[in-house]
Amino acid sequence: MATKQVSATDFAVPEQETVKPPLLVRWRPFLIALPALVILIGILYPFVVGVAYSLTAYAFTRPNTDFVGLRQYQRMVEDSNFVYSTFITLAYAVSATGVQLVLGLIVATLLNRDSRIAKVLQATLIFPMMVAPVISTLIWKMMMQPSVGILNPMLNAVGLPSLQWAAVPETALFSVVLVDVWMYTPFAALILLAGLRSFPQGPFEAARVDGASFWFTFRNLTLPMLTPFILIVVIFRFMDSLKMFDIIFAMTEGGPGSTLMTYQLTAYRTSIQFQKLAQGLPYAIVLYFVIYFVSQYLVKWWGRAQRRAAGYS
Amino acid sequence: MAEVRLDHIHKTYKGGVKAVVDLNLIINDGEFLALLGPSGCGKTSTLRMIVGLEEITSGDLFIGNRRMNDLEPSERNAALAFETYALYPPLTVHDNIAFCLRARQVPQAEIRRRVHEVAEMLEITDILGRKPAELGGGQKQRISLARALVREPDVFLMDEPLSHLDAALRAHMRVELKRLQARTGRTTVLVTHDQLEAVAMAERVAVMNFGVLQQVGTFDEIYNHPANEFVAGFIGEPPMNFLDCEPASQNGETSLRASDGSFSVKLPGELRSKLDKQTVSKLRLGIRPIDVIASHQASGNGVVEIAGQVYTYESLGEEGQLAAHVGGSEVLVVTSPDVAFERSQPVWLQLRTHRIHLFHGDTGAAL
Repeated sequence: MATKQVSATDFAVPEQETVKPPLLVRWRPFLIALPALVILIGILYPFVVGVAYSLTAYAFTRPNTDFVGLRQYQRMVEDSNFVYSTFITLAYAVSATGVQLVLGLIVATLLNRDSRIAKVLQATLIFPMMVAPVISTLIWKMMMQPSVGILNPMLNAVGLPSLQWAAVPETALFSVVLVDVWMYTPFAALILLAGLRSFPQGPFEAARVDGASFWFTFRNLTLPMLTPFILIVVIFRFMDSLKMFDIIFAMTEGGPGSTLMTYQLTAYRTSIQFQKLAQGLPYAIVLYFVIYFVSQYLVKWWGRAQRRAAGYS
Repeated sequence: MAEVRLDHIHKTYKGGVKAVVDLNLIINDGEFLALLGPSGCGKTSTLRMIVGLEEITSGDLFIGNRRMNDLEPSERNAALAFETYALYPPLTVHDNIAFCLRARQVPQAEIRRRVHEVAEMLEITDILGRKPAELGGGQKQRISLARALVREPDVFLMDEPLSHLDAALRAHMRVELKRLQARTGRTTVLVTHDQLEAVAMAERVAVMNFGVLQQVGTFDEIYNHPANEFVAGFIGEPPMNFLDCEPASQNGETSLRASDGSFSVKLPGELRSKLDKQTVSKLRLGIRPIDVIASHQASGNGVVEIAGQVYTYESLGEEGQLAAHVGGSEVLVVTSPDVAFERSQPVWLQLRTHRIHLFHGDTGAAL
């Protein structure tokens, strides 16, 4: 049997004369990408410069750019306050995010109904987010003022003793976390409410017919379906509160003593207030890497949770 | 197992939409009943009221002699297979089916036994470990049925269970559902807009339109003795022809004459005596397309034949479908495959007069 040999030339496209496109067309891809490149440079340049300065002994009072290796990092780790600073940074982030998540869940669940009052309350939720964080913190600070503030009389009215709030180490963390919670619980609630609203009604009606209690449905159905939204809240709030600056600074500037000296506050105080730029930078850079890796992990987890909530294994 | 009784049930939604109006219906213990009607006729609202997802505006609902109006869905022991399946997306097939048993704290061993039992009945044991999103429509549908059946409900309700399946699967599932119902012997209500489904599965059919129950009966009763013009036109495919007529007298015998004068028809005795008992001036003559015989020439054997003109003709292989203009109306005819027609040809239509249905011109009720 005769078989025809097939060769590559059988499929070759006849050669065409190539015409050079005009300059603008050739440059178009780069022009389109240009804004992104500019932004990238705006982000990358300070970062690279920051890393470079952290490898020197640069201070504003002694502008010395000699390379000193990782000495600044070593100094940071050996600092007597380093462990406490790590602890307070994490404690702030974990407690603020945790409380916001729980309260947000409760608020979202309560608002997830078709009543007029729910709609009105939902609109008022965004009020705390419309005030500049520093302003609301200063107002909270006034309210917490031990002698003239309004919070202590309110505590007394319900039979609780007065607090020294942010003025003493025992309640300082509680005070700033309280402000953070007031400010950002609505954010958590809105995201979670949006999640609840996006759910199809069918499965929840089926659960009612199946005779499942509120808790049973919440644990077995609502929570797994809500996990991607919970993780969005965690990603935003945890990242944000790890690097929280404005609330703590406006409330106590890191005090009393060094009670609230988180990484961010330490970096600011060392680099800017004490003008030792290179010595403060490692805190900021380590914080950057912590946030980077934690967010990477959370985003991956979020992707998995989303697939699972949608009904894939 | 229980009888379901709907007693003067009304459903009015916020905004005044009347979804169900004065519905009286008894679904016997162990019966398979289909609620049939076009979309928006109130059939799904009825189903949702029975299961408890929708409040009853007025009237009483009884399941097995217990008044159910104020009971939660979970207390009614009525299971619903949703049109959209409404499976629990994050749970495996096994956990979807086991959900209601777990919610009721049935012991673990019994859960396993019952889930496997129902999974075997529906042939889904091999997918018990999978998640809903990975499965096809037919499998999802079986899971939703399994979930409803595993509870051993008193009443089994299905809302358009087959509408999202492809044609072949639908035909297969029709048979399956019917067998399932026969096997379990449960009181079953099927909501559908598809008369084929209703005929294939249900023992009795309840036809609804605009929230009002039109007729209840076996399919034969409804097909052969439709209670009104709506039922007559809704049941049967292709739909029944309706022609405006008025009673006339011919040699002392009551006959029918088209309102536009295009034809007149002698009536068989039974219909004639029915017509004689009433005083109606306007009538609607209903005749099914298969009860009209079309031919190219008048047969001339004394039978009344109506002259018309071919409007369209389609050959469908084993039969043909002809639309003819008679006066101002259009008449659909199912023709035999031996004869073909051309557009605009004259055509003679002979009605099987004993198959004529007569309706009041104003009310649409059957005579």
